Amino acid sequence: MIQLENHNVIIQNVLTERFVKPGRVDINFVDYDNVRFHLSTPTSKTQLVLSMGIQCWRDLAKYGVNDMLESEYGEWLIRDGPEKEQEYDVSLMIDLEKIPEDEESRTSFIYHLSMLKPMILSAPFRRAYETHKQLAAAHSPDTSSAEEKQGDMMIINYREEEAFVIQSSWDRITVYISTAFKEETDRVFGRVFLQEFVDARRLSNLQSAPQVLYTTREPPLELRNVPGLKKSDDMGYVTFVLFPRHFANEDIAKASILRILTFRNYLHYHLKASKSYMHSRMRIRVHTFGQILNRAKPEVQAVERRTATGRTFRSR
Amino acid sequence: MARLPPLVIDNGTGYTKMGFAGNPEPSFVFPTVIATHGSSTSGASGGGKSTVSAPSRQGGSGGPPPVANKPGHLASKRGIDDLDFFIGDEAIANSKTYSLHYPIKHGMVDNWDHMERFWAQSIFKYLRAEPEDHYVLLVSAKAGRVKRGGPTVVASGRSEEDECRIAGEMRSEGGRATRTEGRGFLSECENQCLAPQAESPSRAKARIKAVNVAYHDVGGAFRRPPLRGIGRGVFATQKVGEETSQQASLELPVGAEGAHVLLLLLLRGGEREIPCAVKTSQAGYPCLLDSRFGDDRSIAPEAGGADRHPEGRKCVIVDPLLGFRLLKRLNEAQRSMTEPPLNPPENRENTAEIMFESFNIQGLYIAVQAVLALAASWTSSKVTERNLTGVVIDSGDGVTHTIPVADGYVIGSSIKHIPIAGRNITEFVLNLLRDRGEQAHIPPEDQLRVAEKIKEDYTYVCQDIVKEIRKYDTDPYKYFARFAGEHSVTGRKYDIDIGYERFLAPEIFFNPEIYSSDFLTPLPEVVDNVIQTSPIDVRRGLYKNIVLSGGSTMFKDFGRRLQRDIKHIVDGRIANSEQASGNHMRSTGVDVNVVTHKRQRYAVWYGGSLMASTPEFYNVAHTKQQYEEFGPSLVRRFSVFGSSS
Repeated sequence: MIQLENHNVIIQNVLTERFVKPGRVDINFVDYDNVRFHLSTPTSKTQLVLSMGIQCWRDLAKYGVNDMLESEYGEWLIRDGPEKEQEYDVSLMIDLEKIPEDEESRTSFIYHLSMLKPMILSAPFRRAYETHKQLAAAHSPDTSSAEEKQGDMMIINYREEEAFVIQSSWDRITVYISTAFKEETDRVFGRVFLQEFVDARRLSNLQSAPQVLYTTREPPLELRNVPGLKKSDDMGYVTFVLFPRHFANEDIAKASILRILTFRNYLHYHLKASKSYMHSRMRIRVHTFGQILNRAKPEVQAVERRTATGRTFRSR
Repeated sequence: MARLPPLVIDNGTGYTKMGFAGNPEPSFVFPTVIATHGSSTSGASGGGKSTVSAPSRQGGSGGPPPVANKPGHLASKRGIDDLDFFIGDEAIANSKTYSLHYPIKHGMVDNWDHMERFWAQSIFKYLRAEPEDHYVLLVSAKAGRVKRGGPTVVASGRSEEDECRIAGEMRSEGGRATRTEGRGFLSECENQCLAPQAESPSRAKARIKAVNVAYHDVGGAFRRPPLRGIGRGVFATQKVGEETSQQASLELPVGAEGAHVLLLLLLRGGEREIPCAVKTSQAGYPCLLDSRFGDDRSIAPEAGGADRHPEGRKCVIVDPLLGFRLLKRLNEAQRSMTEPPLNPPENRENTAEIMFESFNIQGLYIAVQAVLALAASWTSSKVTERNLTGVVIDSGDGVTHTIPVADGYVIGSSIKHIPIAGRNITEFVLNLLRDRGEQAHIPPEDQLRVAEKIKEDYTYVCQDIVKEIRKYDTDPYKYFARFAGEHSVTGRKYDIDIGYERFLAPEIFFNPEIYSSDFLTPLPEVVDNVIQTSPIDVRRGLYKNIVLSGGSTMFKDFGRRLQRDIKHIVDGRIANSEQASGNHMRSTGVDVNVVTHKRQRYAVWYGGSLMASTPEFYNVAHTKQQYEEFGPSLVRRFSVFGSSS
């Protein structure tokens, strides 16, 4: 597994099962980026309620997540009211009597539901595309660079101490991702890993990939004025620069959003996988050393041990 | 921000169950199997350096571990072979192009490389949890600290108070040096006993002649310097009427009286020495506990009375069961060679190392399977107090285990395994169908599936097998069920009658002779034996709380039948001993209680989910800070929690 999947496997599994055979369910589970899910049947077996709590809801609400939800999940959305689950930010009600009949559309419907979290997080990106379009339309070649207008900085604190910032301008969209490495080892691995990203970009077959920049400790200069960014050794900043070709049409745009959204977890997953790899190499190495030491062991003379009464032990 | 729920992961030999704490069921249940790409494993089986076996593995069982290919120095050449693998159902689906490995064998992690990658994918791909944000509760089959002793250290005295104290001390973690020494000595003996080159019991029986007596001071540590040494003794077999009784005469040195001296009879059973325990009473006379329930038979001092033996030196142990029990120990020792009774602490350390170093988890608690199964039973309405004493009957697909637990500690030496479980029942259903000629109607490729379906949906445990058969014979139309199946390939419909197998299938637990002649002890008897070999002070508690866990214990009325049968055995024994006392003593009776509950199928996982969702969990789990402070040896410390007592 190189890429992390975008959809939530538990939602997919449980819904696939419940669509065929309705039954009571009440489960709590999580997803990356401090997302909590609750899937339950509070009233009847045929009415599933899927609720999601996300740390950065307030940030997202500023950047148009509600409109996005209306358009994507409007039919199922529980609007504010007593029915909506407290402690969660979004609640969807899935009525098993209203779901599509045929197998294929069911599968795609389930997949759509299991994409709830990436969908919600993609709201600010959609807004950035819109801003970009407006700016590009307003732009004329004779505008001097000093007067170039840029979109607002959209800051989403998706984890404690970690945030991503999106800014659009007339010719590009820039995404800054900050991540914290809690462990000394992770920090070292992380630095190497990010360097590799920049290096890999130089390969000829990857020329069309977005530009990647990284800094550790100091946030990039563009983010100087952003409040709440921590300056410490265990922070890393990655900057992706998306050009119009990366969001030329709907599908490409979607794909690049999903890639960027999973980037932080992708990075951390690979740090852990690299550590596992190092561990297995270490195990081999230790064993070979052990063998060498074993060869060097002097033979031990068997000494007969006696008790006070002169009896002997037999050791086996 | 609300705390994210802990992850509960139960890696069994066959299946892995995992999910989040607080849920009633695991979110994922799939085989514990990993499919790695051929190239990375062919490197392992080839020659050269890569054929080495990982040093962390115990006993050297299993093949060499797979080893990642030696990487080049160039980043571009390094490749990502180590990420090319699948786990669980996906692994099985890809078994044609990948090679399958089972990282856990006999309940112990066999290959740490595979296990580490298995965990990585289960957390990142399936649970989709950032491990840095979570606590983890891991279940490992035998990872628990096992209470040493059990029948080998039947510490019993004349006064009950002493007995409890000793038992208590043996159970608690050795804080004082002498106690630890005692433990070390015991385990030394046990290790000797577990050494290879086993002899057949019958040959050993012939050879048991002389007894060497090793004694070791356990309880009297603060009164005098600890004693340790070897005494002398003679072992003799006597025939009294129909019964043979074994005698061991012991000679103790001066100074042994008054202390709680723990004696180990090291029988020279041919090649091996078997520990068996005796404790001297306050007066210095060893007493040996009769293993029969409630009968504390102590040993009479030779020529009666302490006054005639002022030094309190010579005593004779007369115990009709002594030889029998020693032989049983020998059998157990032999059996345990194929399946180690203890999971070495090193395994737990490795687990902690991976969890903390690779995954940076916030906290870890390694729980014992049986204890979690006990905790799961608290959901039953029958359970009034939350205690962690009881017998767990865990019956899955392959083997049935009976595990006694006292106050959260497993009594390792009393564990019994029964080779009858789910798979055998399915097989038996198939046999019965064949006998009645019904099998002909089922397409061959569906037979196993149909038999499984019948086992799961139609069977129940009857209370009286003879009556039940008569009932079926007189009115078959009423009791025979009909099973409508469909050919999985052609879609052809077929019908079969389900008759006696409805109640005969689970009956193999109670009358194993109807299934095979390999194993003949009925389950109630095994349970009773297990309790009888446990220390006397916990037996009442064990009888009172017999807990079922695993899919094969879910038959209707299984618990009721089991309870009735065990009760029958116990009552019979009490009546016997009442009669033997000349009807002077009256027993107050023993409570036998089999607990059934709704979460039996994944009881262990459910228990874990239950315990990890209590606030107390965060206090007993080892945190990352503690790990950094103490290192992996941290997990050798073990705290039981969750019980109200």
